[in-house]
Amino acid sequence: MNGPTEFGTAYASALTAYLRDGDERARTTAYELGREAATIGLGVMDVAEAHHAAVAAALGDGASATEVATAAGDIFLETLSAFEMLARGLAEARDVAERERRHAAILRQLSNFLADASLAASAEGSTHEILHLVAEQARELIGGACCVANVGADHDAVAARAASFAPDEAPLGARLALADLSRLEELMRSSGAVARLDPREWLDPAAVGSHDGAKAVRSWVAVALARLDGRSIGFIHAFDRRPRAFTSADGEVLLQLAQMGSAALERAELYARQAADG
Amino acid sequence: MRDEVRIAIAADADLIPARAEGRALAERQGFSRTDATLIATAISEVARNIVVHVGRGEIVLRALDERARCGVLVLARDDGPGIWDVERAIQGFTNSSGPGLGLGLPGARRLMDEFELDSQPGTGTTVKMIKWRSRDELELLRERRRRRERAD
Repeated sequence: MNGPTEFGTAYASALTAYLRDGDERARTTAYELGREAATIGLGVMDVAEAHHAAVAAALGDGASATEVATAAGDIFLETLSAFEMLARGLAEARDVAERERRHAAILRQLSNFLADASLAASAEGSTHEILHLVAEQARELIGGACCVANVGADHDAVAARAASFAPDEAPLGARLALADLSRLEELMRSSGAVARLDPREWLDPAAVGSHDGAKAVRSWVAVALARLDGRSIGFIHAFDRRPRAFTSADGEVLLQLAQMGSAALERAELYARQAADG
Repeated sequence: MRDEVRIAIAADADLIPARAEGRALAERQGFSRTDATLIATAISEVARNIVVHVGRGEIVLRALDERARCGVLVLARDDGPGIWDVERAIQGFTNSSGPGLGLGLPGARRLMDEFELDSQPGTGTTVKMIKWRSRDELELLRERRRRRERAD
């Protein structure tokens, strides 16, 4: 098939076969036709035109109007189902573009917030405020049931951790805020970049298993907070109950957030040191 | 009523019984003609994926019944080489049906309410899809009445 004329002929044949046999074979042919039409670039209006011509031909052949109307409806739906897939794909692509635009706006705004947080009165207060902002914004940016941002004891400031969770995920947020994440963090210190995995293989089931009828946590993405010299000082973690909830694009967004958060933490240290030196 | 149906997939012609069984199950579960068509289409896409990329597998169809909703579960299984880049296969940035058209597995995902793809290189692939239909209050009331009548 290479154009609307051939498509129209094939569509009319499919309708005739369905009127005669009323079986799944003719419906499958109509689905295949729609798929092929979409692949070669025909549009919904081409389908509508072929449909109209096929119905007129069927009525001209003396079939009952009721039978033709019912059969034509079935065949039309089958043919359009491929276009429905494409339409939903386009809507999804629009959503992705909108989400990226929103991410850029949030990151711009966050840059100002982090600059303010770096200037908090004490280094400890500053670290907590930055981690809190990072955890909140991580969840805002990529979604997920819970996000945790932490810095380790080897950091010049004290070890600290902040968690942000969805309103109905407070118990999970409380468990993850206290969970031992060190096994993965050790691995990430050597491998770096972004880790996306199933937390059930890495964390205590008491933290991520199913509780009170809620599903277990199935998705985990983590990135390192690192100094300019590359040494890691902490991590951002995001968790969700859906499997494969986080995409590689989410990992990239977290990396960007981690770079901003790391710079803010280093800046806060610098300010605190300058203040202490008088 | 059969609650689970298995259809072996080894050729394009096997799409026909898989679609027919899926449509029949969808109708028994009370789905509209449009939704039954979308379920049949999603089944076609995952079955076609088996035929094109692996050659042999099976489709399992199961009725799902919960208090406030019912649904159709579709499992598509094969013992093929597996999928190396699962995310790309699901998201459809590129796919085998054409340059980013969005048919195939991404298309099936978009037609259903739930979609999971489990695949490891060398161990085959399982696609799990669910389409749900909410039961309204009237339907629940009728069902309660039917149960009471049966109990009496």
